[in-house]
Amino acid sequence: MELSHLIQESLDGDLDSFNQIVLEFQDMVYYQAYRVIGEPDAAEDATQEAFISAYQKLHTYRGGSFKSWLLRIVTNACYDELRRRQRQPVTALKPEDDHGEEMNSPKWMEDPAEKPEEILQRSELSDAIQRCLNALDDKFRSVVVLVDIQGMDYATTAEIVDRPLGTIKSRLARARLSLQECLEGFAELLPVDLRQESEV
Amino acid sequence: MDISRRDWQLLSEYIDGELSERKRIRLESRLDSERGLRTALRRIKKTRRILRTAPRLSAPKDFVLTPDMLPQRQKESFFPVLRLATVLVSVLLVAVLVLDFGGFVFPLKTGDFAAPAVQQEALESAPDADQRNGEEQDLAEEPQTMEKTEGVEREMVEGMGEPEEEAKALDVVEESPTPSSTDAPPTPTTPPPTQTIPPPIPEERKGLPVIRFIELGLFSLVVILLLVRFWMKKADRDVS
Repeated sequence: MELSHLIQESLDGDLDSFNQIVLEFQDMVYYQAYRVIGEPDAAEDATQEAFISAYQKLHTYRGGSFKSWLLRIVTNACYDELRRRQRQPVTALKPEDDHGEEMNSPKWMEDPAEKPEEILQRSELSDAIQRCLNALDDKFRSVVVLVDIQGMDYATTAEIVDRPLGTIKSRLARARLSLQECLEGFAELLPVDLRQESEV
Repeated sequence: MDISRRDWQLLSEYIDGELSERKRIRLESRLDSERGLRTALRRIKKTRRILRTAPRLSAPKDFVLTPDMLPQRQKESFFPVLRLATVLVSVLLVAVLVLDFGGFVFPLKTGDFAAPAVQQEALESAPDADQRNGEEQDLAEEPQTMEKTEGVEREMVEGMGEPEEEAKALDVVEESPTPSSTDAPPTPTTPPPTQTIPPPIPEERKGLPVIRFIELGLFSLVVILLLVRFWMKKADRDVS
């Protein structure tokens, strides 16, 4: 069913229609939350809160990119979650495998078609990226995640985080500089083509 | 990093195609000649590529909503009503304050219920008193009366503060508004008619109870509505 139709039906109170929207966008929303917050459990909470909030505020959606509108909601939910965690710090628990051992990356990151060493390398790179992202200030992290990971343009990002375009440009440049310095320490985890590129 | 932050930002905008035509041409000419700038460009491109090729994560579960996840809907519906009520009561309060302090007369002022009756009575009796005063002046020409007057005055001076005499004198004025005939006993001790008019009630005191009660009531209502709204909003925020 078309998105606009689903939105209209959701506005009429049809929760099933809204849940179809949820299923369509949940990966994108969760990924944004995970990259901004950096912890799976908190990202789940933020994602759920974002969808509840989206349902309640659906009447404020005035057309345009629904993805951007949703990203704005999830970004705000992430800020709320980060603020809450600053007030009540929690110890992050790493997910465990079937034998109760801690995993660096949870199973849902795995692709059955990949070889074990590829899975390992991919998950380690993902962890490395996340570690570098976590080292950034929240306001820089959300901008770089939106532009470089979600692929948003500057204008849309400015709209999502509700900041001027100049601020977005400056935050993005600073975030990329910090990430570049941080990721240099994980060169061995990079795919071969990227590794060769750095040696040029 | 061997380039300035400004150049780094230019490169960052450049790789995203966000530079203006003029800036882009200038930067490209610099890239041709500056090796450090070229190295920085390669690094920033690589950083962006790593981030863009980062493994996409899928949602670990479905985030579908159930009706019990949405308890705030009914509560929210009170919000517009409360907001409207607050605005209306505030406007009413301002209107009452403007009318009160703007010098407009309120028919509801309680002071007006009691005070006008006394004042009216006093005003009605005032011409009679004037008239009587004139008669007294005529009578004063008679020596006998004059002596009586002097006698009474003396008594008054001697017995200064005798309440009976004073009360009697006042009663005479207040109770005998009809013009007395010439043979009527003169009342030389009659005080000036102005003394019989009760002191005017101060303007501020005139409508004190009702108008102040209205203002106080409206103000309390505004405060209560604001507190309720604040509390509801806070509760809503805590839940969400």
